[in-house]
Amino acid sequence: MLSIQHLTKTFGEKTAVDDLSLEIAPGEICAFIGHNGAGKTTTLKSIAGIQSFDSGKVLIHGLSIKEQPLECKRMIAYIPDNPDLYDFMTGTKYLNFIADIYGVGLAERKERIERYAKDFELTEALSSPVSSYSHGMKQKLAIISAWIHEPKLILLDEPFVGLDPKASHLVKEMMREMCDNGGAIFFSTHVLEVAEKLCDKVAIISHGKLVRSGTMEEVRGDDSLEEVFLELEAETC
Amino acid sequence: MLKLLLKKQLTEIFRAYFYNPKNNKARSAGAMIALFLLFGLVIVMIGGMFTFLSLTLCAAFTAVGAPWMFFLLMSLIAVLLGTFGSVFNTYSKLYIARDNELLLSMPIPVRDIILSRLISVYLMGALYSGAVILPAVIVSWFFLPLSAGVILGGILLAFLVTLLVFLLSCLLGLVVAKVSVHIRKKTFVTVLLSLVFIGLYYFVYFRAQALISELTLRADYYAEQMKSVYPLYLFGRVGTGDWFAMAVCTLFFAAVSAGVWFLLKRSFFEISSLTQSVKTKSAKHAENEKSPRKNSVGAALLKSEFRHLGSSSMYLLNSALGVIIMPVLGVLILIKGGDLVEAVNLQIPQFLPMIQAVFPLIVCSAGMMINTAAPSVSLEGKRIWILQSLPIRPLSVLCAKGAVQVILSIPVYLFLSVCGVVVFRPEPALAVWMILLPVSFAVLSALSGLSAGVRFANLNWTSEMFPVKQGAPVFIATFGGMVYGAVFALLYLFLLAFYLSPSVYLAALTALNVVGSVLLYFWLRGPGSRRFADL
Repeated sequence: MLSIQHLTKTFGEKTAVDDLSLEIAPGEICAFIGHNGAGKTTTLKSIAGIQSFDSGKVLIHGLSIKEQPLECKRMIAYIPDNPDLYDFMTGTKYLNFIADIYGVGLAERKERIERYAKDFELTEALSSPVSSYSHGMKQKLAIISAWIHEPKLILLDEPFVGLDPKASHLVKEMMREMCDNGGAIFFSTHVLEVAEKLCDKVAIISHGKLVRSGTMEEVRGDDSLEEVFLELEAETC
Repeated sequence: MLKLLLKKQLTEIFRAYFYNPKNNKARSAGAMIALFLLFGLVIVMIGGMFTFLSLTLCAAFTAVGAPWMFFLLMSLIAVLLGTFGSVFNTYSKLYIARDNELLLSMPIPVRDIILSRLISVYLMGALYSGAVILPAVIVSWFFLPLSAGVILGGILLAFLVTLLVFLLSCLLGLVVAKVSVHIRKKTFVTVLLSLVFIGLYYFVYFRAQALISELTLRADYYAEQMKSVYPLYLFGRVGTGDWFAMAVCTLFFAAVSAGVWFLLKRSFFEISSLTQSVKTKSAKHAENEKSPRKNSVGAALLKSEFRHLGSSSMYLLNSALGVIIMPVLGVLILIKGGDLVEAVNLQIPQFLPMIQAVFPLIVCSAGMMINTAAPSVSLEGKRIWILQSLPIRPLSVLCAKGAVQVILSIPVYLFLSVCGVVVFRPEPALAVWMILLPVSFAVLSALSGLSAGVRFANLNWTSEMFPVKQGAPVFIATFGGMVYGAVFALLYLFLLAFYLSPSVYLAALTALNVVGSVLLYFWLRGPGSRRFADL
């Protein structure tokens, strides 16, 4: 589903992502963990096609994000760590805008908006302007917008920040359900317990370099993910 | 505590002089000096204008023994100007400040928060009103026999005027805040109120000369009439050094200040929390939103752009005011233009074709009051990720942004042009070009504004005011449009009129506009789109 080959991205002198390669198959949830400034967001933005990169390849379902960006973007959804949404729209208008762009039919979008809004307890607030939403409500709206066109790959940057426990639980269920239906999810997180329980795969990045990746069992071995992560951090520092 | 808050508030107010808001970096010493000089120049120019007015009025009213009337008039002008300038400032500074929640969450007395915020409201009001009342007081000292009372009275009057502006701004700000909590169409109401203020301002501005002449000619009559309104008479007497008036007015203002303070303190917490809370819409509105229509990508993007424009009163007032002003100009031309044509036909009939050739260029320059495309790219700000992550071509986004300006401007350009055609009655061929040139310019200005928007995009801003009012694209587009009109009008009047007929000249300019538009479109399709994708 997602193939990252030798991805490198620099900002002036600084190499934010250094020769990173990673594969995520359909049905897999992959956690992307690393310290602050490790290069997680830069990697996710490069995959989502909203940031150019210096070298390497990003293939989504076999298509290059550089060469066929529109075709790739039709298959993915991306949510940044702090989603700034259109404050001048209501929640419903924002979701319909996204649905229009992806060409989601009226019946499907109506059903999905109603279902997800009900699940996230956002039905009442959808008719209010986004400017009046709390951080958590914006996060919920961004999540609904990501799921509204049933993408094959979802890229999430710190998706659980700002969500209440119930919503966090719901998002985890949605992620699992999507991958059980053949989709794939690649998300960054600092909550290692969540990564450990939820993910099939894990990729650890440090100072722009991928220092460990594989299935959860391969990476973790007999230790906890936290122990492995701290150990790797100590080594790279 | 209050000292700390005041320091923070003053830093915030004067930060723009020391730091560039675009890149958040300290300004160079040269830039700071230039900025202060520019600011000083503006103040001197405004002050100079009111010094001349003061000289005229003071001479007239001291001659009839009613200098109090001069002080009263100047005070009223100062209060009007000061209150007009700072009413929305009070609302935004006091009730919808971004750090209200942060400050309210800390162990700071509400009293201190309000006081620190009010300092900037007072300073803003004092700046506007001071530009009127200070020259007036200084001028009066040259006309009145100087004494301790006159000097103290003048100083007290200047202070009371700034205090009155401050109190009125607070009360009006409170009204705006209370009203805004209850109304849904805030943008519409803000735009409407602003238009009323602008209309009033221009009405007074155009009538000012006649009013001043009337006042100076019949100074004794108006002074006598005004004397019957005792509180106003007393207020005017403060400037003349009347100790009784000074004492009464000081006590009165002290009492009013206490009352306003009580009102503000009582309502601040309630209003500032209400303005931040979630407001749900009516059931009918919510139901309407639940049954949307499916849109094509282009239509969805276009609707989104229009929604953005419609949601921001600042964006509307600064970038689309021409939609209202230009038709008004058209009507004015229909009413008054006949007299001009008649006068030209009587005095210099050979000048009429020149007016016919220049009129469409005036329409083009006036059209720069519609300038939504230039700031639209920068306005995406931190939300740019949405458009960049969606499966849409950058050109589609740019087309939607340009289309908003074209859709808004073409009807008003057409209306104004047709008004010109009706009034100036050109021959049919010229009439066609008088209409086609502005229409082609509408497309050119949208594309050039958009190109400047992409080329000089600045996504790092804290308030929409920066891209809408102070961004380089807006300056380039607006200034460029005005230069276009002026240069081609002068070129024709002083040179080409001798060689080209108005029809040929306007046709050539229309062709130039079309070529320019095509070139800009190709730039936007290629390098412009790539630049937008990389923002």
